[in-house]
Amino acid sequence: MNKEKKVLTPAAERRKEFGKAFFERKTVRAGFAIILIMVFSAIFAPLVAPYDPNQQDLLNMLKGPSLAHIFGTDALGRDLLSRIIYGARASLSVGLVSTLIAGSIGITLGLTAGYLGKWVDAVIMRIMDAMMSIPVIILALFLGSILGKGLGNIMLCIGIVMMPGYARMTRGQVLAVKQLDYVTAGKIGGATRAKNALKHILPNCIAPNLVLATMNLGTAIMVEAGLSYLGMGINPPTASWGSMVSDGYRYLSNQPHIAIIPGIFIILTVWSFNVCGDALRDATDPRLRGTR
Amino acid sequence: MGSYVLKRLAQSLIVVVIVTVLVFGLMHLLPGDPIQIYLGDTATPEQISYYTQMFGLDQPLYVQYFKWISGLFHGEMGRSITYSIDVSELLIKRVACTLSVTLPAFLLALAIGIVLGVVSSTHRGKKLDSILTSIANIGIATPTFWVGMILVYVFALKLNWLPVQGYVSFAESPIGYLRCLIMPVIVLSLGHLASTTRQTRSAMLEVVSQDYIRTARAKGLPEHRVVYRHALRNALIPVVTMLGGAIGGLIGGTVVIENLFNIPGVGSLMMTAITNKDYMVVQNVTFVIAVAVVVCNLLVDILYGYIDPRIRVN
Repeated sequence: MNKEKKVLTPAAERRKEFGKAFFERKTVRAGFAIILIMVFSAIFAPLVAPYDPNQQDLLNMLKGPSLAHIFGTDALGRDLLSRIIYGARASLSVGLVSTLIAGSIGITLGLTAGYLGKWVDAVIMRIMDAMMSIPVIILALFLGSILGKGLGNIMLCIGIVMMPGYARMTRGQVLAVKQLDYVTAGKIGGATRAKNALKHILPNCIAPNLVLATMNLGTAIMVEAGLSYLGMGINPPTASWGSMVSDGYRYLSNQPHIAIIPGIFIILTVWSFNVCGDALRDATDPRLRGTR
Repeated sequence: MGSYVLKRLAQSLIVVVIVTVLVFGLMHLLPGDPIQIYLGDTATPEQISYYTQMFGLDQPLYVQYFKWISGLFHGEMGRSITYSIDVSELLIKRVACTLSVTLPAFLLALAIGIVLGVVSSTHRGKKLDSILTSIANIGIATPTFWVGMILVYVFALKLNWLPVQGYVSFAESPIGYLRCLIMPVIVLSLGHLASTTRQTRSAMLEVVSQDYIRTARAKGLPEHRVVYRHALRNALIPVVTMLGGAIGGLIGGTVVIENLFNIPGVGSLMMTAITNKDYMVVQNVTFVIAVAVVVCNLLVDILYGYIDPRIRVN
């Protein structure tokens, strides 16, 4: 019996090759699975969590892991597993939204600076350099104090802090691409500056920014955790992994699990985003395939 | 090279000026009155007015800004509202504590990170490489304050080997000084150690596949000579570029570490000053940090030109 070999279109072939390169390593497959589980838990938190995350049970305060409370309870008797599941919502949404904010503002600024050049480039990039010369956590503390606590403000604050990275990356890409023949052809063909920048240059800046965004998801979660630890994070009683670690520190000597378990979830999530970011970078850059 | 250095110097100066404008602007956007915070709820309007005038906060913003900048040119950093002493005096006291943590952390991260990166790359694809790479990846993903807590739990609360927190100066007790710095230094260095390991490993892998390394091996040179003399020298170039950013990261990290271990350094000063809206302290500390980062980046860029002749030629 003759089995006909399915012929793939070049685009499908490229997609298949990309998928193969992306999922090549075991760690990436594990990281991707962890992200899927976290996202699923965050979306379906009310269905997955065994208890209300803010429901206090003063008769069961500071309990260790048991069948009723798999990860134990905190100082107010709240179920730690439920708070971790709801905490995933806060941490992942901070990661995602702040990365979107950083990416959209940063890419716009980088594109403008790189394409228009001259004084526009100088002004934008020097401001970005100035922002980058202030350590992330200090700038985030500044902005956090101005904007105030709360989920939305933390997202905005982290988004602004991470923005210069995208601006710098996009500007570099734009400078490389705008010299190419097809961009010049676009200009000669009568394309406006805006059309040329958006239609011909911007698509070439997306891939490296996507890699940066994947890696920054983890960074954003870490910054949120740091801010929450310093008391500038999400308002209580909303559960966030960083504030759970911070709250647990007070009970470290007797009930270390209260601080340890949320920390493990931060590590798992950030690690997963980092390995997926690495894999995405390697898969989009053929030179890096197989170097890790 | 000379014109490149001059250009970078001019750019760095502009960046520092923008930092001053940025910090000054942000500081004055913070909600709340610093004098009210300092004097508390029982302060009378007369007292508030007196202190507002004393600290020059009644003047227009642009006057306050230019007074601050002209003060910096004369080496004056103004007076802290919270501590009622000169900011320069406050900074000198605190810098020693911060340097006691950041400097060893930086050196530790650099030395161990490079060695682990080289070991990992020379064992590429083997078990040791996987273990080291995995540890480095986990190290990058781990929040410093969490590692700090684990160390406190194990070494201070359970084993009772080290103090939970606090700071003892070297003059007071050299042993106490070392004991109270062990955990903060390890915690602060961890993330940077992990990224240095990763960076060195990937730089080494890129270099060892080049022709001149193959030639060195073909000549019969011993492997350690090929690795440390020929490959590492070039592999360190991208690692050097990372150092400028690492300095900023380490200084930023001190805010969390000093808070966790109750170390009276610049990081904890910054945290208190932001909470209390202590204008002069925040402005000057951020200025000093930004200058340190900018200078480090400048030095790294210049150093880069010297280490890599290709950059100098271009």
